[in-house]
Amino acid sequence: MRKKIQWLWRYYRKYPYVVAVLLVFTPIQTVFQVSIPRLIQFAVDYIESGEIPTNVTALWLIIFGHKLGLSTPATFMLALVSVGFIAAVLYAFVQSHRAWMNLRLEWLFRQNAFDGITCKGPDFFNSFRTGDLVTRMTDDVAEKLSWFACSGIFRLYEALLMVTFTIAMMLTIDPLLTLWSAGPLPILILIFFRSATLLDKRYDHLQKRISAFNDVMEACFSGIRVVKSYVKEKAQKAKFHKAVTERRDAEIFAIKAGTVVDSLYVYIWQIGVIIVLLAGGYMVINANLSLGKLVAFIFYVVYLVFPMFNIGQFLVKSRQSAVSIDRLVELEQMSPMVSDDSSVAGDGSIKGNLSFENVRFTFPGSDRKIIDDISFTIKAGQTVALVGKVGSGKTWLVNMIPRLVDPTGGMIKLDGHDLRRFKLEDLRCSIGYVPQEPALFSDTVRNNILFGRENVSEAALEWAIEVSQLRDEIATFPQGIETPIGTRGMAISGGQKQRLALARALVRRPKILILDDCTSALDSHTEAALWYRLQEVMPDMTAILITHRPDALERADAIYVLDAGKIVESGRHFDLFEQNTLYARIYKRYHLEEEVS
Amino acid sequence: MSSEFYENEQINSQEKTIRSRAAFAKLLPLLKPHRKRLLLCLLLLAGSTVLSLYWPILLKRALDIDIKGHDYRGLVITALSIGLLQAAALALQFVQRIKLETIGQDVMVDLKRKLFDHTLSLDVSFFDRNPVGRLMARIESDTEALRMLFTNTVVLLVGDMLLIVGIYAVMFYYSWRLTLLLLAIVPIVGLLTFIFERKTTPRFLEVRKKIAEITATMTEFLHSMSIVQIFHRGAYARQRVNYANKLKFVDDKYVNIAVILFFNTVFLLEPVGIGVVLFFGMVWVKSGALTVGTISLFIILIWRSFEPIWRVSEQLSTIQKAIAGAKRIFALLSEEQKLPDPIRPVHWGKLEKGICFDHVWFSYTGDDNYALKDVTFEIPVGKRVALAGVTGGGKSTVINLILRFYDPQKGRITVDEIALPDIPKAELRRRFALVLQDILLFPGDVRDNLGLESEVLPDEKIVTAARTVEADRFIRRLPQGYRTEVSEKGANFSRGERQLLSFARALVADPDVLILDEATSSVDPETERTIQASLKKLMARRTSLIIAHRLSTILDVDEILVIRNGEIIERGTHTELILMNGYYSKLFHLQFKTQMGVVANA
Repeated sequence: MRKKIQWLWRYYRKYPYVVAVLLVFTPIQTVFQVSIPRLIQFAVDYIESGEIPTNVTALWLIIFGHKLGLSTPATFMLALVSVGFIAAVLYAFVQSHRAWMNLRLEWLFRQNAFDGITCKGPDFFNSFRTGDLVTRMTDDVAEKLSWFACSGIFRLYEALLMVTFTIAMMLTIDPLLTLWSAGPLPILILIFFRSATLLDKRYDHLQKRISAFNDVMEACFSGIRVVKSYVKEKAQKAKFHKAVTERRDAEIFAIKAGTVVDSLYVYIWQIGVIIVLLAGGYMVINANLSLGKLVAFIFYVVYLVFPMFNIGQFLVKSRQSAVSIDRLVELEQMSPMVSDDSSVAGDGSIKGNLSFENVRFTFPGSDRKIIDDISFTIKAGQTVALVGKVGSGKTWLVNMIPRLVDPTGGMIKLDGHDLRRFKLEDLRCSIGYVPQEPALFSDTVRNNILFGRENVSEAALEWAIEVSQLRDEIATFPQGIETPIGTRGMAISGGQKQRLALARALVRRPKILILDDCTSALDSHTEAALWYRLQEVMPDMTAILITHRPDALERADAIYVLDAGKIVESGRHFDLFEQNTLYARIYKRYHLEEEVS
Repeated sequence: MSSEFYENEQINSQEKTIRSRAAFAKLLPLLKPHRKRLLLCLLLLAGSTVLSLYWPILLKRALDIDIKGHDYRGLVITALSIGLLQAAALALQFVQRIKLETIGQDVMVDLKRKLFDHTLSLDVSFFDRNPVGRLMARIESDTEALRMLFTNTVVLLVGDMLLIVGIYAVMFYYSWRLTLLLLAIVPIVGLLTFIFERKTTPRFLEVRKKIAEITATMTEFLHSMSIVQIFHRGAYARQRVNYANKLKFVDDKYVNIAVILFFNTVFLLEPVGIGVVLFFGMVWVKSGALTVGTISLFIILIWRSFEPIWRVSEQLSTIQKAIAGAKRIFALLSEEQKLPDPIRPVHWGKLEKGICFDHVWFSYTGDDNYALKDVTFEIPVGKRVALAGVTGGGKSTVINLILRFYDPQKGRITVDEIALPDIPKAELRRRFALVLQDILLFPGDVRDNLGLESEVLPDEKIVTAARTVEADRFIRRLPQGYRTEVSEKGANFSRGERQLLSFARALVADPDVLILDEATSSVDPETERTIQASLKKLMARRTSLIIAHRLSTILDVDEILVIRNGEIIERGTHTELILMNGYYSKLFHLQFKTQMGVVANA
């Protein structure tokens, strides 16, 4: 519990003004609110006795009213309406601040969670599915947490103040009567605590039924082909009906308990009113209490109902919110895999000489050696090809260059310096990476290529488009370079997506270019033209290619064959091909694949 | 199908109020079967409302008569009467609430079943276009929102209107002059509500759109986070999400403030009303027209008359959600089947001659992008035909068409010379058995999955089938044998075991035609041997269409159709095709030759 409060406090600290407003104005508003029955009391006493009440405040009011030329009734009415007006205005003021804070907190919770996630490593994304992450940052944050974090807590504050001030007022009228009428209060609180556990159990049971219900739907819809082809619709319907009915029964069962609690609660305060009537009525009959005071008292008891309700609500909602806080905190637990230590400035001075020295890599918590002691060097300007089966480690090896992950053993050096000593931004900005899956965004062609980078000249943009063989096609797009490409690039073809990803990688004239099997979706004509152009450009960069293309392999300065995280063969194409190597077999296979596709 | 194929949910900016009313009009028929219970509910509600109006009247009596008359005994009776009446009102209210909840639940059960049944009847292309999550949200969350709206609206419409009418009636009885004054509240509230609704409803919609934007933006970046990091665009992603958050904040702020202003203005009328009552009470004190009791009565009634408004203010977001949900539900219900069953069906009992594809052209997208081009072939009864080719070539599409998950744009598909559209889909599919790569197991036990819950099947048949495909042995080893519950997605079985289970399922169905999409992933040699043996038994003397990935299968079939880019480019037996030394020959070396080692060692 303490941790959760600490977690919330981190956010509250930033808004002292709002917190101050809420803390200060809520009691002020409550005071005005609570004064209304008092005014009613004066009026009733006046009506009853025909005389002006002896209370100081009342007298003052009447004098003030007379000065303004108002009759006594008019004075009281205006006083009441004024107090009511001020109370309403203050309440609107307080509520607006609460609402603002709710929304601001929602924004902050969500943004902070997202910000944290942007730094996490691949291990995080293996543990949490995207859908789950999004649910935590929308549903948990908005529906459950942010309302509670401000309104929930401050409504509790408001309720407690209301109860306190009301009882204070009641005490000033008559302490004994207060004792009688506030009697039911502890019973109410007891009911709430007791009922919480009973309700919990029933709602738990309901949750399970809801999960079962969802499971039936999920399995049926995911396997719709099997269901339809085996003509088992009827059976599935029967199954669904059963699950729905069980769920309904569980829900009614839970609601029955909830309704009993609510009804009991409402009835208890009714008894409070009756007690006031009996005890207070007795006092009035024996002239120990004025009628006005009795009436005011009854109204004060009614005033206690609402806050009790809010307190009860708070207890229920705080449970849900605690769960949501846990779900957000869980996201913070895993630390990023890579950190930015930056002692060496990079940028203009990066040449692109890479050397891998006894590099090893395993995922935290796993035994599998993804990269198992790899060493080799690449000189600036060279083109290197990596070849190997699926799972041989090629992609993870190249992922270490922009430091998506760091080696768990050994070191990678760039221009003689440990990769980790470069400023992360400088390092990554000098690398152009084209992944296997294009990974584009729902934005315009231009924005996808620029990817939020500023200081990119039009000339550079033009050049990147031209090398990627996109220029002519972009010209045919409805809005040219400003054409939106749809969610994940739905509106454009696979081949166009890949070339767009290439343009994105090239536009900053990177010193190191990494291409991971990036031309598979292109037709052979475009592919050939593209590679031809790339060959012209690549000598300016250190290029690392994961490729199947026979002609790319033939031209590479060095080829490294990977198997189970190790380099098993290396050399130039013609040397390797002559011998009966693993490479030769792989190469022949690639050749076949080319012909077959 | 890649996820890019999913139709995007559009939040229509043209949503008019008219459509919400139309949506609710469609809801009314669902209430019909529960008419009687609903009526009882309304009566109970009326009863408890009327009873609850009594206690302020009794309070007046207590103040004016008992206390004023120094009649303590009378007071006690009055107080106890209040207690009894309230208890009665409470009891009625309790029963009413439970009944109303039950009706609400029952109506939603009906709606959920209707939705499920309807969705199930839609064709496969609908499921390709709509992710399972979205469909589940319709049937689960949207109906729930609707249910809450139903429960609250009934109370609102009937109970609260009755309450207001009752309140004003009682007030009128005790002081018609004052009541006439107070009646002015009603049109003021009405006007304020009207203005409020006009101004804020479009803004509510805007907020929902902004939330969808946030979700979409976050999802995009999260999905491609490694690329974002590799390009060091984390700051850019954060900034984009922040901007989306900000937009939503701005709109939501407006809406929230509008709501607060509206409700507080309305609630302001409370002290105004009370002030008026007190004023006239004091002014008319000489004539005694307004006694203390009457004043108290009026004040309490004025408080109560604002209850409904308070209820609405708390429920506002629920109401909005429910309206949106209702529209989506009815949109789903109005989705139509694209492949209806024939009006004059031809009955087809058993495969006698064979299946025939006659110059079939098919495109998933309905345009020129053909997945199958001029495909013509025959599967004579009793023969086994294999489809070979690289991924995306069109093999799965052939299967989709044979089972009539889609209809071709051009050409005909016939079984025993009857065109597929002329046969009722259920009849057609009963004679086929489909075995896919991803073996889908359903919640339930093993027996349920093998028989796909047909209680008509005797256990014997299921066990025999399991034994034939060598699945019986490992099933019996399970904790509860055939009654063992299958865990989510069948995770408690190995890949090999799942394959055997799917063979058993196919065998139980005892189909005329077996359709098999062989798994590409490999298992250990022992399991592979068992699977191959089972397959042989499954395929024995059975007409089969197989997407082949196993060497043993390829060598075993009667004809191989080689598909490339939606066309059949070569056909024949394995030997014939190898001798042709064409595309198949290369394909063979690529896909099957590597298995020869396994076959040799088996």
